[in-house]
Amino acid sequence: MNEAAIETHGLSKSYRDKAALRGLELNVPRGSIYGFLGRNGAGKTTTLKLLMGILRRDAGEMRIFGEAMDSEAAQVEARRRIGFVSEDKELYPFMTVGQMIRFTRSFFPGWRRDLEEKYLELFRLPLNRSVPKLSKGMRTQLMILLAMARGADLLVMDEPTSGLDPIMTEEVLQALADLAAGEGVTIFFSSHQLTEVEQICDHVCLIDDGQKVLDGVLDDLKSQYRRIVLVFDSAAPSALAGLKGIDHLRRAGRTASMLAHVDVESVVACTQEFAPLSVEVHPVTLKELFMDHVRGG
Amino acid sequence: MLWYKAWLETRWRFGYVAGFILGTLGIFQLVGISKQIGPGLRLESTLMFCFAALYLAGSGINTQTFYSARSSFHGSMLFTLSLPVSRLRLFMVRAALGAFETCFCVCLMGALTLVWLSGPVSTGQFFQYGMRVLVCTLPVFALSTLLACLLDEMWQFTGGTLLLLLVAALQIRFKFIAEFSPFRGMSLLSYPIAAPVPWGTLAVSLILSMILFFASIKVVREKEY
Repeated sequence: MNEAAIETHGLSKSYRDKAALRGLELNVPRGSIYGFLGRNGAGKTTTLKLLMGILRRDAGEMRIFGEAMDSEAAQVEARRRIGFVSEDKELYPFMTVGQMIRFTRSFFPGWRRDLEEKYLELFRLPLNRSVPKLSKGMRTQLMILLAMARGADLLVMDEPTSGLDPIMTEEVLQALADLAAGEGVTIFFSSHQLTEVEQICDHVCLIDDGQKVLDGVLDDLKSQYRRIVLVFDSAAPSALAGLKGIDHLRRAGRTASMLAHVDVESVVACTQEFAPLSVEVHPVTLKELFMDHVRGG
Repeated sequence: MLWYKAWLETRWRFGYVAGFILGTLGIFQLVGISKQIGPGLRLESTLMFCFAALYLAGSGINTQTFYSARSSFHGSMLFTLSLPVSRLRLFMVRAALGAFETCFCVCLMGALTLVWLSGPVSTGQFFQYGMRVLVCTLPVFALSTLLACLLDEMWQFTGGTLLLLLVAALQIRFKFIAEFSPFRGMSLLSYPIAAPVPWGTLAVSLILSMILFFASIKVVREKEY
C-alpha cells in the first residue's frame, strides 16, 4: 500500500502541432501536499485534465493509487477517490448552493457531513443562494467544499485560491493542511502563488515547456541550493559560466549571481581565481528556484 | 440526481416550447385563420410553426446545457466530467430527458392539430398520426444532439438550420430523397390522416436517427474538453 498517489511516466500530449506535455515524469507520494508549478502554458492544466480523464494522453503511462488509467472504467473508479477543483471554478448556474451540495453528495457514498457542515460554517455560504449570485470567491469556496467533503483520498486542484481574499486564502490553506495532516489526504495543486506553495507544500515539482525541470522535497531542495553573489571591480567575467556545480549564472555589470547545488564551499573557493571584491552566500527561496529553473536563468 | 440536474437545466426551455406550441395554435384559432385558408394549407402552416418550435426545442434542450463551449457552461462541464460517472451515462441521461421532452411537445402538437381538424378522427388514426410525427421528428432531435456535441453554441442553431435547409432543397431536386424525407412523412398534405402509414419513410427516419445518435455517442466518448 505504499504506492504513490499519482505516477506518470513519459506522459505526452499535443494539441494539433503544439506539444503541451513532453514525457512528463511525476511521482506524488501519498499524504503529501504537492505543489505543481510552472509558467502559463507550461502544461499544468493539461496534466490535471489528463489525471481527471477529461483529456486523453498521446503517449505514456498514468497511475492513480497504483491503478493504471488505461480505460474509462478505471478513470471512473479513480474519480470516486478524487476531489477536483477546476481553474475557472464554474458550477451549475441553475442550482443553489444547497442543490449543488445535494447533487454532488449523491455520487459519493463516503460523503463527509462533518466536513460539509464545518466548511459551510467556515465559508459562510448561504444555502439558498443561486450559483450565479455568488461572488467568484464564494464560488471558489463552494467548489473547495464540494471537493473536500466528498471523502476523497486525493484532491486535484487548479489554482484553488484564485479569487479569494487574503483572509479566506489563509483559511483555505489551513483547511488543506489540516486535511492532509488529519486525514492523510494527498493534495496535488497547481498555483502561481509561490508564497502559498512554500507555506503548505512539502513537495514541489517545477515544469517548463511540458517537461519536469525540478522536483523533490521542498526543504531538501532549499537546503541543497545556495545563491552565490559575487561583486567585481569591473564587469563580471563570462568565464564564470564554466564553473562546475553551478546551475544558472546571471551577470549584470559588476555583479554575478549564480545558483549552486553541489558542494557550495568548493564552488565559492573556485570563484576566488576571478578575484571578486566580495562573495556572499544566501539561502534560496522557492521563488528563486522557480525563476532560475523555469525562466532558464 | 443526474435526472434532476437535467430537468433543472431544461425546464425553462421545455416550458417555453410547450408554451410556444399552445400559443401559436391558440392564436391561429383566435384569429380564425382556419376559416380563411383550406384545411390542408392550414394544417401545413400549423405544422411548420410547430416544427420550428420543435426544432428550437431540440437545439435548446441540448444547446447550452450539454457540451457547449461557452465559458460558464464549459466550466460546469469540467465539474460534470470530474464526477465518477461515465461519459456514456452522462450522455444517455441527458439525451433521454431531451427525447422525452421532445416527445411530449410532439404529442401536444399532434393532439392539438387533430383537435383542430374539422373532420372526424378515430382514436386509431389519432395514435397513428402521433406515431408518424414522433418518428419523423426523431432525426431532427438526433441531429440537434449531434450538433450540440460537435459545435460551439453559436454554430449549433446556424449549422442545424443550414443542414435542414439543405435536406429541404435536396428533396425538391431529387425525388428519391423526397420519397423518404421525414418532413414529408409528418405532412398531412403528403399523407392525409386516412392514408396508409408511410413505412419506408418511417424506417428511414429511424435508421437516420440511430446513425446520428451513435455518432453523438462516439463524439462524446472521444471528445476532449
